[in-house]
Amino acid sequence: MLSVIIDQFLNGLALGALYALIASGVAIVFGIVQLVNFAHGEFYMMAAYIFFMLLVLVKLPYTLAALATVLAMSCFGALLELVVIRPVVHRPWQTQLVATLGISVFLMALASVAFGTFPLRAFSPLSARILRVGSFDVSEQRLLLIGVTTVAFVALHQFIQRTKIGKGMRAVSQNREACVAVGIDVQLISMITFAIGAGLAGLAAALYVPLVTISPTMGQLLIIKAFVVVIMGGFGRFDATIVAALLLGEIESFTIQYVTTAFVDVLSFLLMVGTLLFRPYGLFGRRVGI
Amino acid sequence: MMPALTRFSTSQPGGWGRAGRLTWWLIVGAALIAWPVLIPSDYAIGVAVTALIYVALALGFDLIAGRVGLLSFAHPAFFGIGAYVAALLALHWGIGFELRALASIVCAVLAATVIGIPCFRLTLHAFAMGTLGFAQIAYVVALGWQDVTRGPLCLPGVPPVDFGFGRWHWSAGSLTDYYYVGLGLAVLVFISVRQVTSGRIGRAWKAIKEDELLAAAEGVPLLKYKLLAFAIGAGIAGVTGAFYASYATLVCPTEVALTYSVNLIIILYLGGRASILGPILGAVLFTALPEYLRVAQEWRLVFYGVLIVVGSVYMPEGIVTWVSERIQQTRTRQRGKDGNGADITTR
Repeated sequence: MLSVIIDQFLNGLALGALYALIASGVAIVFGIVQLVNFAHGEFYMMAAYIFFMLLVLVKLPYTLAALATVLAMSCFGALLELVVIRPVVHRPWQTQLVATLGISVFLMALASVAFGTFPLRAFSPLSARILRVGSFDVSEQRLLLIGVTTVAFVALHQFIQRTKIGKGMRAVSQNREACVAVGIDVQLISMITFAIGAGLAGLAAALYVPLVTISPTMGQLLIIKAFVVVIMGGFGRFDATIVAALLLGEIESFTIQYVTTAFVDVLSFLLMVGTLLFRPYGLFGRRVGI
Repeated sequence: MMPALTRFSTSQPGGWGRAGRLTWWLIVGAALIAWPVLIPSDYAIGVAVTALIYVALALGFDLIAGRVGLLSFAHPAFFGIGAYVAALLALHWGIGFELRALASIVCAVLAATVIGIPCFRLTLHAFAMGTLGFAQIAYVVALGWQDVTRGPLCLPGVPPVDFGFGRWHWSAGSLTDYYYVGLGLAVLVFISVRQVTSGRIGRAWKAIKEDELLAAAEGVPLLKYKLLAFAIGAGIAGVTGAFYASYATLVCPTEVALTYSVNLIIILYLGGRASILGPILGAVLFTALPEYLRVAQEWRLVFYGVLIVVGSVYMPEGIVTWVSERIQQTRTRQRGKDGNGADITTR
């Protein structure tokens, strides 16, 4: 009984870490560029394929493949900001949303042309290893996911709080016009924001993909879950998003164990709709800002 | 941002006269009716039926996404509800098409009310996400409620479209029959949308789209008119779903999936929004273009992805609005030359 609970708690924590990595990318972009990135799930999918290529086809060691994936995704995010997002930033929000939807369709279709729709797998050395502590088992890949995610968020927090660029990001999220007036390079800041968001998606892929299969549609459900998390956390708040992600991970994990597997997603969407209706500024009730 | 208020069909000085427009409609009507005779290949007629389904869906979707300007992701849910209701009624109770279609409309409108009332409290992105949440719930239910929907196994064997009146009975057998029923449906939708948007309701929607706060201050009941657009769109999607169920003879959870939302958004952003020609042109281009370009199935979506991105960067109001703006500009310039018009609009 206790071991089942601890097991599910760790599963929920791992799932929450995945949600946190994806949702914080959505949140950070929303907070700073004020744009809902529908293509973020496809960033994760694309990162999964890059990781697959590096690990399985090029046969790089796991750590190197993971780092290269994060780096490649950051470059891709910056490039995408330059080519697609910058020309639509001054347009109404619907147009921006549709532009990112276009990127999402494009990436998904390109992946199924390049790799087919057949699910692929990329195993890391840790994904088959099980750690035994007393009476219960835990997959080492999950522990790695939880550990590295924690480190990544601490580092990102320090970056946003301490560095000049991080301060610029916070300033842009508070008042874009004022930033332009005092000479902060807003375009550079949005580019870096996109790079960080995409990099986090790359990290998520490198850490979580060894546990699941890779397919062109793998990002679709995840992006909606990320929206659930972002809304629960209150649109663009960074720390609240992470807490909301862990909360959702635990809720889903225990629902699967004790209530229902088929309708677990209904529960998360009801959570989202409920949050939107009753706590429109998120569960923790503060307005946008990172 | 100032959405264009001009449309093709409104009479303007220098436009087509009444007789000219009538001739134009007659030519289009004759061409549509003669289509299966002119090009009697099953393939071309099949493409045309798909195009008609998308025309009906897009015209309904435009009411909420284009006219009122609220990007909803719940539209495929109404289509799916219509399709499932019609299929279940036909399979379990053998109910005829008219009643099936009616039930589909009623259920879709009810669903729109249930989804709409909470979602219209949300604004901007939140509305899009709220409706997306409901759409996903519909999808998961269609997939998971296997006692009723059979989940991923789909509901096969939906009987064809049929009409009965006393002893007279007709049921659609060939693809051409479906083409004419689909054409009838699309024309009905076209006429209803035209009627609704050209009157008081259409003006209220326009006011809400231009400035919600101002419209409310002028005494336009926001929730009522938003819900009206949502419900009419849903009703159209519902009846289209009922038609689709019979046409495809199969209803799957994929009919409720996000893909339909994406397709409808492509259509509106390609053709143009808040107009009657925009969604039609978009739907026809969306279905027919790749067929005639002979693009391989898997490359089609790659192509559309690029098209959406390029379109939203360079032509975010769609082809129809873009062209009508150009015509408008040329006219303004010509009038300026005559010396009797100083209303050169700068955008």
